[in-house]
Amino acid sequence: MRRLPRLPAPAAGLVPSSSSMGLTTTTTTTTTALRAPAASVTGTAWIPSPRLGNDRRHLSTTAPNAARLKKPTFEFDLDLAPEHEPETHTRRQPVAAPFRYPCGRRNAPRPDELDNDATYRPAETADGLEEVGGLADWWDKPEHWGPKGAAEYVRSVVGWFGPVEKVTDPALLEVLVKRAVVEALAVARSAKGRSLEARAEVEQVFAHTANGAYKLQDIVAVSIQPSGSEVATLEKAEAARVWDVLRGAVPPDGAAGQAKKKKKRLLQRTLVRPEHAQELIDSPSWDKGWKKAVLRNAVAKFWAAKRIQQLTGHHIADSKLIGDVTVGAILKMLEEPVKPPKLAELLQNKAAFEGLPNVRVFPRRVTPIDKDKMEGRWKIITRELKERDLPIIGTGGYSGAVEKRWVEGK
Amino acid sequence: MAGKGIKSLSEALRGLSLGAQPCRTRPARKAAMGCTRTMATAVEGKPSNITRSVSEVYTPLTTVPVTIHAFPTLEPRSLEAWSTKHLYLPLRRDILHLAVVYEGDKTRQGTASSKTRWEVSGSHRKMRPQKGMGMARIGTRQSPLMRHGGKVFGPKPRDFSTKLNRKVYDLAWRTALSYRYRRGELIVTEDGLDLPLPDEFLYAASKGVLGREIEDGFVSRYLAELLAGLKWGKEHGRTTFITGDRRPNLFTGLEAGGENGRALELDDVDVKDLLETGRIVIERSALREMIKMHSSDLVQRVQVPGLRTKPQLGTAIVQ
Repeated sequence: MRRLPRLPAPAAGLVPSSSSMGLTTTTTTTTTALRAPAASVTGTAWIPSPRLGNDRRHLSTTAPNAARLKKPTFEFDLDLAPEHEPETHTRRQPVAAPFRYPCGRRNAPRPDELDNDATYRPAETADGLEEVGGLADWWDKPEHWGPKGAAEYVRSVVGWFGPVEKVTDPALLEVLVKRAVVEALAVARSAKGRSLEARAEVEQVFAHTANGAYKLQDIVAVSIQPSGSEVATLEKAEAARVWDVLRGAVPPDGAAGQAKKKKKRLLQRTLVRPEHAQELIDSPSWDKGWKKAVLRNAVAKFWAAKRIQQLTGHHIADSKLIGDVTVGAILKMLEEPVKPPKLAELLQNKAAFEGLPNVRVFPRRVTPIDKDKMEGRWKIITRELKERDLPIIGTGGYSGAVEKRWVEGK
Repeated sequence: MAGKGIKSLSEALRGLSLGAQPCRTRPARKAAMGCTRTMATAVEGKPSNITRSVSEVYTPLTTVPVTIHAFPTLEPRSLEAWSTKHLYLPLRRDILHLAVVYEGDKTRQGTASSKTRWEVSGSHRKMRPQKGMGMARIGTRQSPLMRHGGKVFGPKPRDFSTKLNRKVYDLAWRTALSYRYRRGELIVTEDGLDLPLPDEFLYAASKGVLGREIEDGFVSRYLAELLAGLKWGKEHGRTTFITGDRRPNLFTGLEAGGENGRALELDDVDVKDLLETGRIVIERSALREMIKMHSSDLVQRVQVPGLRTKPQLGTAIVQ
């Protein structure tokens, strides 16, 4: 069996090192980047020392500093603590973890460890031994992953960008996409020639308004086609106003902002309701023609796609955003197409054969078994086949007549 | 004189180009069709803009956007513009077929071997007299007619590799990438693509309290859940991860949980790999290197001052 190389003792093999945050610039030499040790994209990585080789499992998640070599700090549910017994045969002390791992196992003493026990005779057969099972399906049991199961555990560790469940309500999608487009245009207008710090500010603002509820009405009321232009754009003053509104969501630093922080956190939890979105669309002030606006600027499209993903959970592929794309086309991509009705349903709804007593419509093929059921023969057939110990459906592994093939000369 | 000749030839060719043609409309169908039923494949409405006026300036698409994502959150982090000659080529199934067959031929082991009558061991004594035994005449026991004798036209170790022009092969690489890009199945991530494992697991593993079986099982299930969350797992056609070099967590994780995907180093990738599984997840530098290595057909021999001889690799739009 293949064995994964395990992490060695930290002091022996792991050297904490820092890596650059985020993406390296595009001017980085590709060859050197290719051979660089695996670096985390989100934070500090732990890289194995060269003498260990490159094939050992190492820490690659967010690791702030070398202090991570000590016990990690995480919320630990005492109820889920592994039940370990104070026993002499366990090699290592158990560690606390939010998941449950088998740690109460004991190894039987080897014959050479027994001190001249004259009564001891090694077993020659496995008769009488209790079967306790292996560890192959240990992680298939949800209770071993914590209170909410494996999927929830992974979700809590990884943290997706955007909501876990995609937004599917059409009204909600429309409102959130409009919000995303307005914000993207505002950012694209103001972010021209901006530095990395400015980019970080945009990320921060978007993170604080990740659910899309903050000042929703103010933002979606903005027209993205001033003076009836075909291309989606924002007036300079309007872009600045939108940006100011958005920046208001970020709590100011310092003690004065502590009270506001709590309020903002509460605000973040509130989500946009579909009914509220529908009200906004139905209101007379809602611009009906905004979907015809064309997105042309690549930067605006990038921010729009990113913001749409953050607000609705829908990922838009790059190939869908090539050239001039209308906002309506983007919205259409996100909306799930209405499933066309089946022919049987359609005929039933239309009552197409209502006056014809000899015509019936079935949703699927009428099989011989269906015909038997209609005639009331099927129960009898089943019973008789069971009595004879014959297969009810299929040939039961018996092949067709061999002689037939001989006759056919195959 | 020669220069003048080339100039006039180029003018003549320009006259034949699509751009120089006057705007023509499609001929309308005069005869009434016998069948009035709407076919499922029928195109509704008149196709618009199938021709272009001479007065309109021809501005073909030159670049396509490529978003660089964070893994595994899939957050868009930056944007690059790539040439259409790199990532937006039309699908050429014939070229892809040539490349896949070429690779298949090249990787054939070709070690099948059988013995001829001269290689089968044993004595070459005549088995029985030529005459007088009442049986057919035979020579040695190595004869191909005999059981355990030699093989007449058996396989011998040989090289099955076929040839394919380098430029065609390179075009196949970019065609395969373009095919994935068009379908939205090419996901480019930031450099350092690896599987982040939870800290508490790594801590427990470092303390050696988990056995190897438990470690393998944990990573395998963790990866399966992670890919299922992204809709990249077994139910969605598996995923191929391509990195510049071997990343321990990702590679060992996918070795343990291979039903959900595979991980390949850049050197191990070929065109067929790019066409398999549901999607390709590749780190940015690996993509750059891959395209850089397979651009031989884009180099022009004619050097024009001020013009690039080959399209530029991805340029940053949003950093």
